[in-house]
Amino acid sequence: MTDQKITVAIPARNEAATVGKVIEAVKPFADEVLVIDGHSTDGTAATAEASGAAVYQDFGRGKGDGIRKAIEVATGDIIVFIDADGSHDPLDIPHMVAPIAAGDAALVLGSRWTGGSDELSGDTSMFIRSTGSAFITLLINYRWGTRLTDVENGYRAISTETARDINLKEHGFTIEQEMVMKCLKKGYTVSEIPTHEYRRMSGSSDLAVWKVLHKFAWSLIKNLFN
Amino acid sequence: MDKVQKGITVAIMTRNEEATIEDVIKSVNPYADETLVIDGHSADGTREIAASLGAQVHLDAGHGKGDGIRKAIEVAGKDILVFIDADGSHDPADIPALVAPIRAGEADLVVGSRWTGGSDELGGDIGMFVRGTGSSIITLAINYRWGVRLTDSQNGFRAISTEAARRITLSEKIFTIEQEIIMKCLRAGMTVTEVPTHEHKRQSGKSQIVVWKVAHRYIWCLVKNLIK
Repeated sequence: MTDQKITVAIPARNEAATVGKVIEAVKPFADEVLVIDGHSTDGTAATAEASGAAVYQDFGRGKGDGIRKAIEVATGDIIVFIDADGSHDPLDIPHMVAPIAAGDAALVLGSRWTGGSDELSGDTSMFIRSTGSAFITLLINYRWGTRLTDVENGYRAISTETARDINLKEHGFTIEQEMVMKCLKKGYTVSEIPTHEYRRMSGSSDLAVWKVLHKFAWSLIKNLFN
Repeated sequence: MDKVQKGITVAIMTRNEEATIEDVIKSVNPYADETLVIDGHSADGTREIAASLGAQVHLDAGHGKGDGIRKAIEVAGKDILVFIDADGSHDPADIPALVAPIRAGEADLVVGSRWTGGSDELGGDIGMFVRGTGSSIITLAINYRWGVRLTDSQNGFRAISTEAARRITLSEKIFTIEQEIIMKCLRAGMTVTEVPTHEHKRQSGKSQIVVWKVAHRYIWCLVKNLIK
């Protein structure tokens, strides 16, 4: 794929049903597989270890914690973040990594808008998430002159050096937009490739829109105007 | 309207698409038993190019895409009718997937979804945001009203049983016909399903949808059909 070392990091909380399969599926693309466990109570950590991943615990405050831990411990030159529920296709990894290895981008996002999503539409809460996401993406585009389509997708790759330089702080899912904004703010190139989001293999979203809407808005405003 | 024979009619609605119509007709022909071009009174060479390639060319009444679709339904000779755009944004390789459920008797209308298949056009700037959000609201309203789980009520890339299409009465003149077709099929008790289809950047030209001018028509068409 490239002579750069690739770390694939899987933040996980209570994903014992699927994390083993995801680890097996990403192994062909990874020099190092990390699972960052958010203090699961269902045996996720043990399952992950048994599948051959290096398992770390984060502080248990959310996906943001998990991502920060991965950035801290990764030994690869490029970190690929992939979800633990089987909704992301590991075959996209080489395409995501290539622009970074070539020096054309520091952060490459997988876009569900250009790649399609089996999850993100059809009922009211999906509508809110999808519209909110599109709105946030729009503001980021206008602020930094980019033409991104999906800033919320957890499926992405980043140069480890860049990830350590941008000093991420968010605890929850808001880290996804924070990562994009902080890269752009520091002049790093952010690009996208189409990636398809499949129905998760099991479980349900940990994102309770009504509870976190204000966090997304606040995180957006903070970073837009800084 | 004559009796239809078994097979696939592919209908391409056009207005001033001379830059792309040749490529579209050639790419569609392998999938079609009959290729129709329904022209909205183009001022360029669209009709001449289409005729030279062996497509059956018809003129509609010139009031918009709705007119074009109604004409296609009227003149189609095969039992499954596929609608595809003239600008190269739809992939003819998706046609078999669109047609299969109808052929199997499992659906009357199959819509291509850009939400599950992805779109290179529908994101990133404010016009697209408004169209995408508006489209989602309309789709949501349809879902709640008829208990379905559609994701894309506006995509012009779709297949319908010709006979089913002739059973519903369509009155919209412009792009609002897309949602009208879905709502009237559902109201008539027909089965409407979706398959993922990818929307590519159009090869040339730009969208003829001017959101600000037509938003109110989309809302009115929705309300009219929802509450009947």
